[in-house]
Amino acid sequence: MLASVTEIDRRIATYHQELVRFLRRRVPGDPEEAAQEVWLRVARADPDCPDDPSFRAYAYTVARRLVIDMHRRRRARIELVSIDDTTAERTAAGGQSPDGRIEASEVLKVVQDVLADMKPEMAEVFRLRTLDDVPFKDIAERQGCSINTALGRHHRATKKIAAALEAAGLTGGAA
Amino acid sequence: MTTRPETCPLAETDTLLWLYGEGPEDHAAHVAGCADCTAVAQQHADVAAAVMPLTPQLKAPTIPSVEVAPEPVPAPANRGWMLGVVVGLAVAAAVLLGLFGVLGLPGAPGSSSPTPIAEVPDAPEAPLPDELAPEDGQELVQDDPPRQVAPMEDVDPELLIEPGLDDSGEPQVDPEAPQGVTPDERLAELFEDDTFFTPVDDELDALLDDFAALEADLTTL
Repeated sequence: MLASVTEIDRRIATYHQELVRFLRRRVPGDPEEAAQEVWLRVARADPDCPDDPSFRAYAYTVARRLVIDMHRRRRARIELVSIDDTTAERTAAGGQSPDGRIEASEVLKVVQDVLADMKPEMAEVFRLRTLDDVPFKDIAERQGCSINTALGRHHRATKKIAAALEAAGLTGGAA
Repeated sequence: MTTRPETCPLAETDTLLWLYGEGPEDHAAHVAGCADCTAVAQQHADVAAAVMPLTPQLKAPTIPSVEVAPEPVPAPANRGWMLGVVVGLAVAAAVLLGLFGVLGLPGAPGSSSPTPIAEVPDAPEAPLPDELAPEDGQELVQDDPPRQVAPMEDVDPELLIEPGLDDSGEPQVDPEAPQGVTPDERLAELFEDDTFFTPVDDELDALLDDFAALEADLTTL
């Protein structure tokens, strides 16, 4: 269903700044570029959004997935160019400001503690999917379980980490 | 971030697959219109934004992958004969053990003629067993006390045999040697006597003479 160009432009103009603020602390690099990527994906999908709130919800849905995609692509680049742990740590820690480094170290400690406390198979799914970018299908084969079991383990691990970060006042991402 | 339980059945399945790029793209429309799936997507996006930049530090030490090719296992048919040999040996051992048991051979399991080992006390303070005790009217005889060994200086010098003397202490005499001749003089006489050397020595001298003659001939030629 093709919406008129002027209608899409209007909606984008309406929610652009809000989306940039949403992306500012969630994506590496320039949030303006990330917002442009979101609008490009929305225009390509041409969703059936009868009103502005549904269009906004769709844009945020795309933006949330873009957050994961951008971190995966960025991490892949880091893995390709990193020479040693020191370089990787300096790159991954954000390094733009001392506050960012402190927050990154706090996030690291919280996540390490949560992963150490949870069931090994659950932590393994989270590491393989989130850190090593292994597809859920391969994880299920590796653990000898169904793909739904692997998905459930990953979701529960994510919920535990999210709750721990929220309890530590670190919600919103450290990037 | 919300922690309330999800009621949408797709929140933990299709939505997660779509979120991580493993599901169909058109699932975005459902996520956009589903509060549960939107919350799940928000939660995962926030955690990913916080955790993914720390990937190098969070990665666990290298774990051997299950994709490592296993060692090739020989076909069972190749080891069939070994299994037969092992089974045969086991059966033979069982039969032999059974025979030992029936015949009552010593040392066999369940033998009817065990050979108990009597414990004999070594310590002198320990009492003797009844079967070794002296009969009435007899007394135990103590072992001989340790004999005293005389030191070397106490040995009678006459018992020592000096070189050149016989067992009786008299000077050794060669019966073939002329009387009144010392051993050194006798040895000198033997070297001067041509008949003392064996015929082999004469043959060796003849060969050496022949080699000398041949060498002289070759030099001349």
